[in-house]
Amino acid sequence: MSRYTVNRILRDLYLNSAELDRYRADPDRYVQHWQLTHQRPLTEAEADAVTAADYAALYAMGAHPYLIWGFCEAALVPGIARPDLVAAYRAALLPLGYPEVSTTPVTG
Amino acid sequence: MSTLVGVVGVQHNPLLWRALADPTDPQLISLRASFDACAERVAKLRPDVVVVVTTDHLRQWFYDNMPTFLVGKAPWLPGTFPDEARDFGIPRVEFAGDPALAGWLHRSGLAQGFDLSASDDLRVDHSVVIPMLFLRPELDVPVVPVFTNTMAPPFAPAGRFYDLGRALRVAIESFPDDRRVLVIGSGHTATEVGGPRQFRGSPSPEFDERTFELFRVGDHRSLLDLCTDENLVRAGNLTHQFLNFVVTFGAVDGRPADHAEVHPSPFSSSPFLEWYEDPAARSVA
Repeated sequence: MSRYTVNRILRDLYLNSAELDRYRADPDRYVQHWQLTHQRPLTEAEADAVTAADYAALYAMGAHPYLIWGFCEAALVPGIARPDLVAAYRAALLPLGYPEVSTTPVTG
Repeated sequence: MSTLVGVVGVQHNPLLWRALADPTDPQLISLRASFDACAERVAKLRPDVVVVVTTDHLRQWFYDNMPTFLVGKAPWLPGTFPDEARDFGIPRVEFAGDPALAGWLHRSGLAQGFDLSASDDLRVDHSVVIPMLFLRPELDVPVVPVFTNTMAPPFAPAGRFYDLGRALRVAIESFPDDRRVLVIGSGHTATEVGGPRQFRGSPSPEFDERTFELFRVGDHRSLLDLCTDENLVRAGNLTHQFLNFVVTFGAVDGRPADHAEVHPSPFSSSPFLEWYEDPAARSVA
């Protein structure tokens, strides 16, 4: 698991509209290609969460919330109306509380 | 020698740019009026340069190289990022920098025990652009950004932010050239983005009220005690940006604010914290 790598791909996507367009055209292909070109593997769960813009999964694994929202808003609106996304996002995250987001959490 | 003519703390929510352009919501009309009134008070200070104490949102500074505290020394500063233009309608802007003052802040900081990072080449996001557009819409004053990491944990403790403010004041007042320097703290009261409490007003009105009372009475010790990591996150997942107001409090040695109001708004609460060097300016605030 690498929170850094997940945060990095989310940031690459929402900061750059050209990247976002390529992602939208074929999310699975984009995510596979990104890992190869950056020589940074994602776990299967991480790749699946980015590919599906699965905000609940990204949030639960401790990706940075600011990047998750920025990415999901850019990737999913206007396919989903923004107020609907805000409501669905809130409902999906509510049971998850506030996961650790440090890339180097304190252990032991 | 230079003078710290005023210290102001405001929020930098990027959604405000569209929301306050032509507001019809009574809360937003009132907020717009407060920004305009604050801009008038700022204009009366006749600042030669603005030091903006702020937090980049993982755009310019990221986990690959994250400075805890950084001073921007570039002679010119391009503003906003393509995603902010796309998502928030924020205009592309350019600020003049002030490399002489910025370089002095860097050196003075090091001498005072603040191992500041520095950059001669950076782009500023809405955390600089929004306060400047609202408080100095002419954008005709040079900007020295001082970035604090309040986005990517772990963070420096609150006391360190307060001491940074004190160090900035010492640095500004010992700068040999004559400048009228305004410090703007760009931050947030309790705030949340990307969490379950986002976009529904303040995630913790109690935090907002309690902290602003401490600014009003000038109780920095209680404020620092309150600003633990745990309390800040409980108030909202990005509330560490509040620590930029703790820097402003340090810059005035914790004296009571001349003006401290918190507006309710559909976003997080909107603070206006102001301290003026000239006693005559204090009475109009």
